[in-house]
Amino acid sequence: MVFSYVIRDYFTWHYLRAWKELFNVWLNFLWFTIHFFSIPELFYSLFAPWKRMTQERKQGFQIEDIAAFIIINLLSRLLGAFLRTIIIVAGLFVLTLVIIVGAFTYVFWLLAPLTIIASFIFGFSMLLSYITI
Amino acid sequence: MKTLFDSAQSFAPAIALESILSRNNMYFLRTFFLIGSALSGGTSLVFIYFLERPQLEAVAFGMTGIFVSLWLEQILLSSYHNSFFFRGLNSVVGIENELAEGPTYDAAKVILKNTSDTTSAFFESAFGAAVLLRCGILPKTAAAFLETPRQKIHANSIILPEDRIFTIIDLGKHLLSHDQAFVQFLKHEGISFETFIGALTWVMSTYHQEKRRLRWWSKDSLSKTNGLGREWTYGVAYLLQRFSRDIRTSAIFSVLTGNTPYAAEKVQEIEAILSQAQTANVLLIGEVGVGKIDLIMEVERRINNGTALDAITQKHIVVLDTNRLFATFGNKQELEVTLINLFDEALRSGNIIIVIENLSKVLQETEALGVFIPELLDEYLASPSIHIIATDTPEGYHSTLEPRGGFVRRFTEILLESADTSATVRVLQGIALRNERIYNTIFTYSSLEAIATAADRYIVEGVMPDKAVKLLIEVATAAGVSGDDLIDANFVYELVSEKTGVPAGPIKDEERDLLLHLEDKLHQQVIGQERALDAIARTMRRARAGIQSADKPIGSFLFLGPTGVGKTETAKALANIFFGGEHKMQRLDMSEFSGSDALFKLLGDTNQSGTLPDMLRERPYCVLLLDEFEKADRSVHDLFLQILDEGVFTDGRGRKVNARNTIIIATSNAGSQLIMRTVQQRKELSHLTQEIIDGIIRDGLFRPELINRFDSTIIFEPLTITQQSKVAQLMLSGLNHRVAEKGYELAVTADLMEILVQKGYSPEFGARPMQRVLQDVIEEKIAQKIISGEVQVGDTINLSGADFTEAELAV
Repeated sequence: MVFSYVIRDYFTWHYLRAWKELFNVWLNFLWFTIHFFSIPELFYSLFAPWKRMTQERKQGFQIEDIAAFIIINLLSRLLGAFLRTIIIVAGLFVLTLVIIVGAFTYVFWLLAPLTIIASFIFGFSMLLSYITI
Repeated sequence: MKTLFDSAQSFAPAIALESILSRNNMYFLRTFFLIGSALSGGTSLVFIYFLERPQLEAVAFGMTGIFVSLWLEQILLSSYHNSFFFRGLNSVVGIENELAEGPTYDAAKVILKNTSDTTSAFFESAFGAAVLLRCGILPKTAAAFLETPRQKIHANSIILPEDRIFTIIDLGKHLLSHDQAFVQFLKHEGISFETFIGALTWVMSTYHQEKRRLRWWSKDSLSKTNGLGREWTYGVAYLLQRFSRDIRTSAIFSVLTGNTPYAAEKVQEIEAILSQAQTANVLLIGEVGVGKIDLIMEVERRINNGTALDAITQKHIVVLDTNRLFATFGNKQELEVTLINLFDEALRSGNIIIVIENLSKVLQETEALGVFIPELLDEYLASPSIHIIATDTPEGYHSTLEPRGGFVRRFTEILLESADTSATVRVLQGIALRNERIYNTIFTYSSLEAIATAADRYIVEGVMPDKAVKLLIEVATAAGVSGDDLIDANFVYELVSEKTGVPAGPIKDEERDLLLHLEDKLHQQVIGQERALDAIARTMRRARAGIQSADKPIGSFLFLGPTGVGKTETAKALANIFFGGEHKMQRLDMSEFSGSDALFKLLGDTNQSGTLPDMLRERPYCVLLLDEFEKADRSVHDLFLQILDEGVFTDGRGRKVNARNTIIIATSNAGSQLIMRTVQQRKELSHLTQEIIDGIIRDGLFRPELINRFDSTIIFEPLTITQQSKVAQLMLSGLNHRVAEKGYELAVTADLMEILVQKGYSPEFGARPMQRVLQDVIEEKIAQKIISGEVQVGDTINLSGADFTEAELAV
């Protein structure tokens, strides 16, 4: 009695309200991925010097000084861009994964009750086949 | 319009599910099936690839299929339950203003237990039972109440609000406003509405926070991690890292978080200052223990989870470990170079907020080495690339920082007041829960209120909320030792009374007796003055009945009357009765504080402590006798205007001094002439009190507002000759006592007594001349007899009028 009552309500939830709730959780995970890999922040500061390691220019005009200034600052920026790109790429990869998993979850959700029953029947029949062998 | 009854129905299936399968069991099954799936899945792979055993392979496969299906089934079931269980939580804990309505899962669960009697449903739920216990109501008392005939409230009569979630807190409030029997029950148990709602909010908000923690997939839980690579745009301050320490090592208790309005306001203020372009440095001024570091911790927490103001989201808070810095670099040059390097690095990093604790102490320590921090730091303080949060006590601020005006102007000051009682109770809630587990006791909500009130009023050392926290731990320890498992307000007050020697909290039998017979007690020590002593007793009763406000001294009196009529004696008697001894009377001769430097002498300055603060720190529970009050300087009168009104004042070092546990008595013989005349004319003195006060005001001795601040002005009458002879007898018995200690007995005849009273009587100077007569005549005679060897130890010294010559009596 209670069982059928819960089951009936469950299915109403599963095929109505749950869609929106799943979507919200999915949004949370997307937000988390972006936040965790700091994708926008790293993108905007892509070419900023690595940990502010820069060379300052001295007074006057000296070719060596200018060369050091340009090379060191360039290296610092390149290093920064390189490492940031790695994180951004990793972040985008995970983000794609989260999107795919999310989409997959929706498909799964649609078929979930069937999947469970199918999996159970499959398992049971395998066990039976052992007994009959 | 939806009723609670209707709305709760939608939760019924989920609640029914939980009654079959609790959330813990769901968790257990979920984990069990997952492990089962993994193990059987792994086994089947092993069979497929490594061992060729087709039969066993089929078994493993079959098991996997069954486990996976059961696991998925559990996942779906718990998702279903979560959907109801966490519904509306965001708006309940105030994270976002989602448009939610209807009851919470818990409210529905409570109500569905008994829809026709919501009060009973509330009482019998786990939450209701916890709330009642926090109110100090035992389960059997609650059960007895439910048995009584009463009007029952059906759940379909409760209309739900349309714009917000209906929680168990709302249910409790509804009962308060609709269930008369319940209200009567609370009244009968001595529980105020505030206490009930406080206990209710305490129980429920603790539970809601726990729920919030469980929901790891929500945005606010997920936001607790730091992003990767955010610091890369900023430099690294290696030197600063070496000389920094974890902010948590300084925090007193990490509970003064944003959940009290006062703390939230201050945190926002700090953030706003740090976001400014110029002078974005903060100086937090507050007593030790007020929670300065806790506020900075809260700012850090907000930065980490992205709720801080945009301008500071990338900032990094570092606490400078000055102790280690000074220990490592002991000489001027090294220290200077290190400090400059350290701040340069931090400046280049661009996102550092440096916290310097006890700025004035740091300044003094470095100055001892010849390093002048204000000059050194000036450049950095002006820079927008680095922020400094300094903390200091008001004392340190006044003595060390204030004189350096230019330096202080680089900071924006935030003054932290001690938390008020209600904020303190909020702070205590979390600490109480932790200590309950350790000492195996339960704090009622009213015990927390009592702790906050008693700490504020009776504990002199320290500031709120720190001293309340300390008191709570003491209470918990005491309860643990005595084996009390439910701590109520009485328990707290008893402990405080024991600790301080001052009766605290509700009046108990012994004290009730003392207060009711205060006149008699006073009369044992003071002769005559019926009217004065009656007035004092009345005022003291009023004070202890709690009619008087708590932020004033226990009592304050202005004693007027000629000398030697018992003013000091009355003060001594009060010290004896209320504080357990005459040594608890502290006397200040106010004629010493009549010059222009009076206030300095009384309060002290930065170099020297003052007389009054010293006295009150040494003996905070006392009778404070201010002799010849009218002679004090006007500035001193102004000071007492404040003390009588607020019970606290600030000493010359900027520290708050508590005078709330004293009985303040100011004496003055102003108006004695008028009193004498009145008595001589045999007029009724009581009618003339106002006239006497008016006369004093006319003479400019006291300002009317000062006289009005005293709880009452007491007129002491000149003693009549009968009263004088009683005084003489009292004095003689004192002398008897002293003589007896030397091993003699003293017997004075009635005729000698009469002669002495006649000699010593003086309406103008009261009992003083009597004292002199006794000394000059009797004591002199005794001394003669002892020295001449006329009496031996153990003898009785008999004195009568005949023993004295005319000359001897003519003093």
